[in-house]
Amino acid sequence: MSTTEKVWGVVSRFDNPTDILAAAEKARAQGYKKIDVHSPFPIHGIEKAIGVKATPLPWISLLGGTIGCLVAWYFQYWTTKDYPMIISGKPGLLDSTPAWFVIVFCFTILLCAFATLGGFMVLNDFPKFYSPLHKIKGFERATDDQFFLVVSAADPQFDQRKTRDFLAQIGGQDVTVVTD
Amino acid sequence: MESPKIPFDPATAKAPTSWKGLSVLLALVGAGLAAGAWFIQKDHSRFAHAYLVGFMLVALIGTGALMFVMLQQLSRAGWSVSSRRIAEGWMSSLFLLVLLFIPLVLLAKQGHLYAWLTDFGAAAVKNAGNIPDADRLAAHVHHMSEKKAFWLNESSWLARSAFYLVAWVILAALILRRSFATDVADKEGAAANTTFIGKLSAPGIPLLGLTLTFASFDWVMSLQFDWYSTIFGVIHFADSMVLIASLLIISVACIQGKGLMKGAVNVEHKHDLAKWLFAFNTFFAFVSYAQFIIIWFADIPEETVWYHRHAADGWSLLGWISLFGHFFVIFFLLMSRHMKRNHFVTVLVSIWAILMAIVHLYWEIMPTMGYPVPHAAGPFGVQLADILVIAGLLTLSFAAFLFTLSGRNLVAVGDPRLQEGLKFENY
Repeated sequence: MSTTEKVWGVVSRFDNPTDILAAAEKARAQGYKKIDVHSPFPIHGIEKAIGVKATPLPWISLLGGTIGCLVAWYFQYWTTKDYPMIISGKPGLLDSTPAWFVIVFCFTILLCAFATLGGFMVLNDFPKFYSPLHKIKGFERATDDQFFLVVSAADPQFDQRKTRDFLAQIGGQDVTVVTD
Repeated sequence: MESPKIPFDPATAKAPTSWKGLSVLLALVGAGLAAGAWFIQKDHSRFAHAYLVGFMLVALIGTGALMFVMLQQLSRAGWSVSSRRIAEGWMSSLFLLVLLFIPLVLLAKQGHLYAWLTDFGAAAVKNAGNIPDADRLAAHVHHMSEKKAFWLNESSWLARSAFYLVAWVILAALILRRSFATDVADKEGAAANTTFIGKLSAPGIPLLGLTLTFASFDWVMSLQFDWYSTIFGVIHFADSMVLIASLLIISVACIQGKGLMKGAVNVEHKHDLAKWLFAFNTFFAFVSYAQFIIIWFADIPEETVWYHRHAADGWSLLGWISLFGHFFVIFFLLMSRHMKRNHFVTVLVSIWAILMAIVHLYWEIMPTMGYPVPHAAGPFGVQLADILVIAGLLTLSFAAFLFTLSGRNLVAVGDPRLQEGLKFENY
C-alpha cells in the first residue's frame, strides 16, 4: 500500500448471514455509524442492524405523481380552451373534464414511475462504475456465497488500526484496509 | 401510534361461550329494528328498496369474507392466517342471507321492487299520467318486456338466486367445517384439512366471481331493467373486498381490546389489512369510473339512462359522496405507510369505508323506486325507516358472526402456516 493513497475503509469477510448480522450489531453497539454490508441476498433484519434510515423515496414518488397529475390536467385544459370539444352534448370547457382523467391517470403513473426510478438512482449513486471495493481479491464472491462488512473511513470513530483489530475480534476474516 | 409487538398467547385464542347469548340478543334487536322500520314506513316500495340495500350489504360482507378466505388459502398466504378465522366468522352472513332472501322474495312478489316481475311497469306508466313522451315510454317498456322476459321472469330469477345462495352456502359451510377441524386435529389432520380448503378454493373463486356478478345483475341491476353494464358486478366485488378488510380491522381491534387474540395480529398484519383496504378502495374507484366514462363518452340514451335516473332530483349528491368520500378521502388517508400502521387511523378509516359502501349501495338502489316512471323516486332524502332497516340487517350479520365464533378459537391455532404468519414482517 502506497502512503500517498487515501484510506477508504476497512473490509472484512464472513461466510454466513448469521455471523455478519451479529457482527453488524456489535459494530453498531461499538458506536460505528457508517457501516455497510454486501451480501448475495437480502438478510432479514440487517437494515436495523446497520441502522439504515427511512428512505425519502416515497416523497419523491409523491412529488412526481402530483406533478404528472397537474401537468396532464393543465395541458389538456390549455389545448382545449381555445378549441372546445363541442361534440356529444358536452359544449362547456369543464364539461370535458371526465375525458381528461384517463390521460391524467396515466400521466400521474408515468411521472411517478420516472420519479421513483430517478430518485432510486440518485439516492444510490447509480450508475456507479467504480468502487474501491472492486480492488479486493475475492470480493466478487459477495454475489455468490460470501458476506462483507465495510466500515467507512468517513466514520467519526474510524481509526485504521483500531477498526481493523475490532473487525478481526468480532470474527471477520481477511480483514483488509481499502484505499481509494 | 404503532401498537407494540407482543408474542402470541394461545391461552387467549378462545372466544367466550357467552357470545352465543349475546348473538341471540343482537339477533332480536336486529330483527326488531327491521320490523320497526316496516311498521313506521307507510311506503312499502321504499321499505323494499331500503331492505334490498341491507340485503346487498349482508351479501357483500359474506361474499367478501368468502373470497378473502379462499384467496388466502389458495395462495397459501402466511400473513393472514392469524386473522383469517375472523373472516371465516363473517362468512356466516351467507347462511343469514338465505333467511333474509325470504322477505325479499315476498316484497318482490308484491310488486314493490322489480317492475319486470309484473308487467315491466306498463301499468305504472299508464297510470302515472302527465309524463312527457308517455307513448314513447310505453312503447319502450313493451319492447323491453318482449326482449328481456326470457331472462327477467319470476321462475328463472328464483332459480338463479337459489343457485347463487346454495353455491355460497356450500362453499362457506365446507370451509368453516374444515377450518374448525384444524383446531382439534393432529398435525397431519390439520395439514390435510388446510390442503382441502386450498383445493376447494381453486374452483371456488371463479364460481364465486361469476355468481356474485350475476347476483348483482339479478338483484340490483335489474331494478332498472332496460340498462346494462358488464362491470356492474365487479364494482360490487370491489366493495365486498373493502367491506371485509374494514370489518377485519375493526373486529380485530375490538376483540383485542377485550384481551383476546393477544399478540396474534400485530402491527405488521394490520398494516397488510390496511393495504388490502387501500388497494381495493382504489380498484373500486377505477371500475366505477370505467363504467361511468364509457357511458359518458358515448352518450347513447339507452346507456346514460342509469346516470340520469341516479342524478335526478338531487340523488347525484350520493354519487359525489361516493367519488370524494369513498375514493379520495380513503386514498389520501391511507397512502402513507405510517398511516397504514397507525391503529387509530385504520380503525376510523374502516368505519368510514363501511359507511361509504352503504352510501354507494343506497345510491345504486334507492333512486330506482317507481321505475320506469320518471321522477317516481321523489327528491333525494334519507328516512329514519331506511336507516333502521339497514342497521337492523347489519346487526343481524354481526349476530351471525358472534354465533358462529362463540366458544371457538379466534385464531386458527392448528394451521400449519400459523408460525410463519406470526413471524411475518413488512421489510
